[in-house]
Amino acid sequence: MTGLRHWLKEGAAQRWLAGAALLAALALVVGLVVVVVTVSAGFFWPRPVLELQLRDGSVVLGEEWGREDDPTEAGSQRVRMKVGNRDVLGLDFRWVREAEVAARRTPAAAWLLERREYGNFYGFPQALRSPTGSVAVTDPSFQVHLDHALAETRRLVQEEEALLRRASRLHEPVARLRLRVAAAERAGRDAAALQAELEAATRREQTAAAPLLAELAELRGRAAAFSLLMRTADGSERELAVSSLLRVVPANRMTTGAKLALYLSRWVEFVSGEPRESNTEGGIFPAIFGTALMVLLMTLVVVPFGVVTALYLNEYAGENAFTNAVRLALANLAGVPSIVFGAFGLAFFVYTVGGGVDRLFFSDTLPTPTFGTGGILWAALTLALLTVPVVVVATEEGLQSVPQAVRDGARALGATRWQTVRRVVLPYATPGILTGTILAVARAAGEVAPLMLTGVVKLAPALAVDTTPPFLHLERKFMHLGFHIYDVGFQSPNIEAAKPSVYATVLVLLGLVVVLNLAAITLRNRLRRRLRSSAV
Amino acid sequence: MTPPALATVALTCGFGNHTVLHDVSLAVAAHRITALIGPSGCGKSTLLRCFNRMNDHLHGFFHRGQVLVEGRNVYDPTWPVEALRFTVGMVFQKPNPFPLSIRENVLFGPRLAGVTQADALEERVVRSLQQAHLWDEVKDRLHASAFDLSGGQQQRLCIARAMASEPDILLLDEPASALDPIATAKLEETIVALSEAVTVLLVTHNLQQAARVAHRTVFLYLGRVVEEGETVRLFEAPQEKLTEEYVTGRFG
Amino acid sequence: MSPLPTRRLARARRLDRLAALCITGGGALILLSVGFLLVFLLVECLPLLSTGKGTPEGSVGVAFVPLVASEDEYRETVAVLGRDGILHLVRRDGSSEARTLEGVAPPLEEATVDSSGRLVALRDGRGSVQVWSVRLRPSWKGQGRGLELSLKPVLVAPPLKAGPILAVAGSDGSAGVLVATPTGALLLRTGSGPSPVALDALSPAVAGTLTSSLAEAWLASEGELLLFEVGGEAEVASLVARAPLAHRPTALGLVLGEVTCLVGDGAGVVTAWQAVEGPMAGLRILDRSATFPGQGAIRRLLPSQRDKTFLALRADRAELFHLTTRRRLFELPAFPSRVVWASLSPRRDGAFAVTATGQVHRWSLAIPHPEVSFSTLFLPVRYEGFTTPELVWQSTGGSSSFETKLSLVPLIVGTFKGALYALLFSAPIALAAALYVSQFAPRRLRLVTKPMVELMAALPSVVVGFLAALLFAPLIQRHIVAVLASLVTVPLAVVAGAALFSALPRTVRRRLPPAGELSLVGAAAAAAVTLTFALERAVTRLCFGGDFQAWLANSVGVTYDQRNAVVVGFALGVAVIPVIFTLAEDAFSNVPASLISASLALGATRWQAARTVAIPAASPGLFAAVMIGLGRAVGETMIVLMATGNTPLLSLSPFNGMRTMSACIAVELPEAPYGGTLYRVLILTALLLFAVTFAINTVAVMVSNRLRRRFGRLAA
Repeated sequence: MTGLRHWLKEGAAQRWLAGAALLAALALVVGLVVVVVTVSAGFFWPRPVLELQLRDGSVVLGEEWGREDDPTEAGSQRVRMKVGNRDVLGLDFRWVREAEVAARRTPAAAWLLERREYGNFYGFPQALRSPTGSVAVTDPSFQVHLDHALAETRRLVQEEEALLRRASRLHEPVARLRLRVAAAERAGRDAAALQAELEAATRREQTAAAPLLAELAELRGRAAAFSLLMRTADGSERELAVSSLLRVVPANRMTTGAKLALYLSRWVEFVSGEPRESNTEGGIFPAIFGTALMVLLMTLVVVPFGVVTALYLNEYAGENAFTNAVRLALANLAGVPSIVFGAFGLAFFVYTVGGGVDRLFFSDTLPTPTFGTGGILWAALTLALLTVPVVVVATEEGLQSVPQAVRDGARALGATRWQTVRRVVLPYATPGILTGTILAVARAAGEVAPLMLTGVVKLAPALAVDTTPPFLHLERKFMHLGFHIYDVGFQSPNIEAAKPSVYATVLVLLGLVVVLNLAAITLRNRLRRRLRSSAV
Repeated sequence: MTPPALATVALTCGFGNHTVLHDVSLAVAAHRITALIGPSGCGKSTLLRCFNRMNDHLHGFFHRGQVLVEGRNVYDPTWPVEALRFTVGMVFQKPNPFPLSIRENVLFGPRLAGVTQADALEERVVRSLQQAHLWDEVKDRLHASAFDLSGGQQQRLCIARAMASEPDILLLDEPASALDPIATAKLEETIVALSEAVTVLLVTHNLQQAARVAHRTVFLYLGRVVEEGETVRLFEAPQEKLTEEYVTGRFG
Repeated sequence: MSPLPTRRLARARRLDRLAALCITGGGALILLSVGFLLVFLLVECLPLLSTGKGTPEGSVGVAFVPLVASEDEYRETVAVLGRDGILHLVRRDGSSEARTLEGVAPPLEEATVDSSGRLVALRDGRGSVQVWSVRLRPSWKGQGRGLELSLKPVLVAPPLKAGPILAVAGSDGSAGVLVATPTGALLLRTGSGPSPVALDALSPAVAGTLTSSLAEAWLASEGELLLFEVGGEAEVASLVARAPLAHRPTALGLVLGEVTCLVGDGAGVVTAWQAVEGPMAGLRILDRSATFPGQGAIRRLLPSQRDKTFLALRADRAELFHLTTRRRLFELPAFPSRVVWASLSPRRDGAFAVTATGQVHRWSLAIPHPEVSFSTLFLPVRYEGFTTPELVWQSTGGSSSFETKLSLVPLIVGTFKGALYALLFSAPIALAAALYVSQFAPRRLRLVTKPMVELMAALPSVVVGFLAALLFAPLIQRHIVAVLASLVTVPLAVVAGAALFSALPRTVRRRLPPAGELSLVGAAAAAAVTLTFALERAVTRLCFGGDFQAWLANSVGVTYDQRNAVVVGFALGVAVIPVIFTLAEDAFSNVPASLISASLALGATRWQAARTVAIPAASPGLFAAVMIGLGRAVGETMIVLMATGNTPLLSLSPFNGMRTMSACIAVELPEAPYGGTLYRVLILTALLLFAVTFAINTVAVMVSNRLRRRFGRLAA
């Protein structure tokens, strides 16, 4: 027993337990990052298209999407196959029990088609129909014709989209007038003049839009001339319009180089493209743009506010109750849960200030709110309030790294307090300010709860910056990377199909946050090293 | 009769409850080097800082009596403290160059004073660096960072910076305490040369330095002036016993 | 000497003063912001306190004797049926229009109106009982809004020998009127089915009320309350339940939703009754769910068509009550005497009364939030359909007559449940890890751990919640036995490994670099985890019959949700560990190294030095670290939203979910109409959350100060 007591006193067990706790904590963070990176990075890598012949004679064609233990038969597994063809089969995925599988092949001729609507299509190409005639897949010139068809339809679709954009821009003044007329009628005002204006504007729009619509119809007709005939797993034939295809992937015949190229191109599309299929496919460019713009607006507000507060606390404050109160207020602000900021943002910025702005400047479109509803401006202001303490703390660190002797030197040369701050202290403290800004940006990119109340939205109809005056639309709602993860991951109707998109978004957000924080940490270390070296 | 460059009349000052200087009255002659000596804590630096009102920045500072620069009360409300500091320059114990280039360090004061013309600025740079005996060493790297200089060079840069504002008086607070002997010697050389242009008040705890450099010396003990006079006489034939004990090293 | 640049100096000094003003203002702005945030949120939820008030809007006189009346939606016209058998539409300005009721012989003996104000039952001079539909519909003609009256008879019964009309209810297509008989009451109705239907009470009914579907009727006799069910084809209604009444009843009314029946008696007390499941299956009993005391016999009970408010008309006054909060709201001011009929406006924004002397009085009512009071927010409430008071949060229901249940207690309990499970997981790990890094680990390890922990702190909570919900929750569910077992096997394996390590000869131990020892620790832990997972299936089959969740449900009676408190605790823990670790590590490193060295020099081992010196000296900081971690866990929103089922349960079991204050605000505030009750209650919740985190942070500072004073002598 004394041996045990002695051993406990020595503390090896306690030391080992504490070490295990440290390893557990580190394993958590490392494990989290590793899991995200491996799962996310793998989704876009092209997989082979498998053909499973089942014992009952049916054929399943698709990609293998996951495995788990078969709940109905112990010791065996079942495979989740992504069979796509949602317009034909109704669902993207189905479970196939290993016990049912008679044969498994990877047919060289199987193709995966990425489409604009209804997701992926798996099948075997038969022929290509174009204005010049039909080309069978066995024809050596098939690929050339297909490439041409794809290029041509892509061009036509782009022209269509440009036309549609022009048409919608033509419609905007009419839509605005319509709102004003409705508001006037509801308020009981005389809307006769507005009504006449609306009719005139509608007529103008119709005249201007007519040739556009005609051209659109013509383009669509030309695009429809190209179609690809595919045979599905069960032998039936489908004709798909080439203009609906985004990518043609001969999945089982790709070299590693081709696979890498496809992988990278999928990533590029993800980062720069628009979302499709209610955010389960496509790109997240609007979310990236929305996050970036909101963060920029926030920075414009929070950096001056935070720097001024830090300057006050460090350069101008005396040892009195007011300073203590300011420090207490700052500490409290740092501890307030982010959702409380969201509630305040909604109650004050959106309803009170936004409602007031609407009543003063946009009363002719009431009750449809302009600023009286969530928007990128209110979201940015709310997050600015939330991240002020971050900027203040980092700036203070920067200001404290300025040796008092340097300040004294400037004062002794006849500089006023403000001149000292502006010419000597602030330049010295710039790394600290920058650190604070970066940390605030990283925080805002990942913070979701307050945004849910102040203006983030699942799918924004337009970006907050576009070519219609006044070019910067602060009242528009926006998309956000963090919210995208929450929304698509949890509110989406088709979570399995959305998984690649969500995991890839997680990777992008995580990467952004990690990079920003590493930059801030490096900056801060450099600042601290300077502080230590100057304290000679 | 021209007033003395610096003077105090019955100056009593301190911080909070602690009085540092008791009824100090002295006069510092122009174009001379005067040394303030005394043991640690006797109030030398506080007295020095009274002349350019740097004590005002310290918490709880109070003062009674008068502090005069060129016959004018430094606390005269019509004399802004920034203007006072254009007339009275200061060099600190440790070199404190700004995180700017050598040239910009020197030009800090003149820019504050409103000198904008390029040739005037250029002339100031050259003259100040020459006065500080630094010109030859830095003339071809004026745009280098001030932190690239050695300790002694940085201190001379601080002198150049102070001189660039063309002050009448230069206050030096133990300027060589952070320097090695060779740099100290160079610095002392510079200080002696400066006294032709400005009045120098030098605080030092190094008696040999005072003996080498100063024309007049003031001995302070526990916040009071014990003795003052020509340096040679003070060291060789002190009138007060306390002075004798100090300069012979019996305490300090 | 250079010339004094006086003008430039003056400008510089002005700028300096301006800068000082702006910067001090900026500092003040922080104070203002926090203060404003608090005050604004407080002001936004203050209206919850008010019980509302009524303002008299004057009266207009009419030249006939009124019997009953009803009001239109917009409160512009009161339709008054006079004894003269004419329906008078009395407008605000006093002008009126008259419409005769065809086939009605004046003078009318009596009349009554249903709760919606659209059906009037009358007995005319010949004794014929009729039901008329009176609809005041707004119509938009050009610029203005007008009122269209549609008036038609719905039920005309031949003269009947029966007592007074008790109640009328139904719709245009199917209306029913209840008349008293010596043995109870008789239900006359249109539509399919027999008419009249007899309700046998064995004594005459003094008051009665009908549901709008005409399927149920409540009767009050001298000493009893009875509930009847009116079936399709039966000529006699079946008695469902009865209950004795303490005082002689004088009026009955059905609260909106027709679940609760109000009984007013001659003593002035109003009681609320509902039919609940009895002790035997299929049997229902009448249960008294509320009592509203008062003075002055109740003449009529007029429920609101908007919510659970009702007007109690006494001889000389009228008072408003609310069912859910069990309280009296206020009294209608300047109430006239000899009131013949009174009611609440359809939108509950006003009230009117008509007197026997021919005056039509109006009031405007402002009752912002009658359904919320301190007791409904924080104490158990007996809601409609419940037999006991409960703490429930259910803000929306299927129909407009849904009783909003806004108790903050499940949210508060849920918040702390999640936070405490999080602390249970994260505090030991973070504190032990901080201890290891500061007391046992080599310097180089600290350089590696600090950035990693900072990175952990920077992980967006949405990412953590996402992974917890989509990856870890299913994983834990599949391997719950192994996960729980690991909590025991891993520490045991680590301790065993430590014992083995100590058994090695000292020379071998000393030759090992410190990082080497840590890798051995890791190896022991990894081995334990692997073994636990490998043996899991066997253990599950042995102890839990192959299925842990089934065992849990059957033996312990607890259901297992995939997204439960364990998952949330784990996920929140990931967010909280870096907070506690950083603060604890700072606390440990602030312990002067000299103290530790002194202890080591006296022959203590590293562990003994840590236990006797470092931990006590750092204890203020450690306590603050844990409290601040708690504050962080309390305020976290996204992780809870994603990793729990977000069900507002009130349960402490770790195997089901919860809803926290923050998650509730996030989900419900965007949909809550501005200025409505739910909106203000959610703002109150946000304020409460702020107060809780403020309290936690203050306690942390205070206790750590006290501990510092006690242990600070060590560090001094």
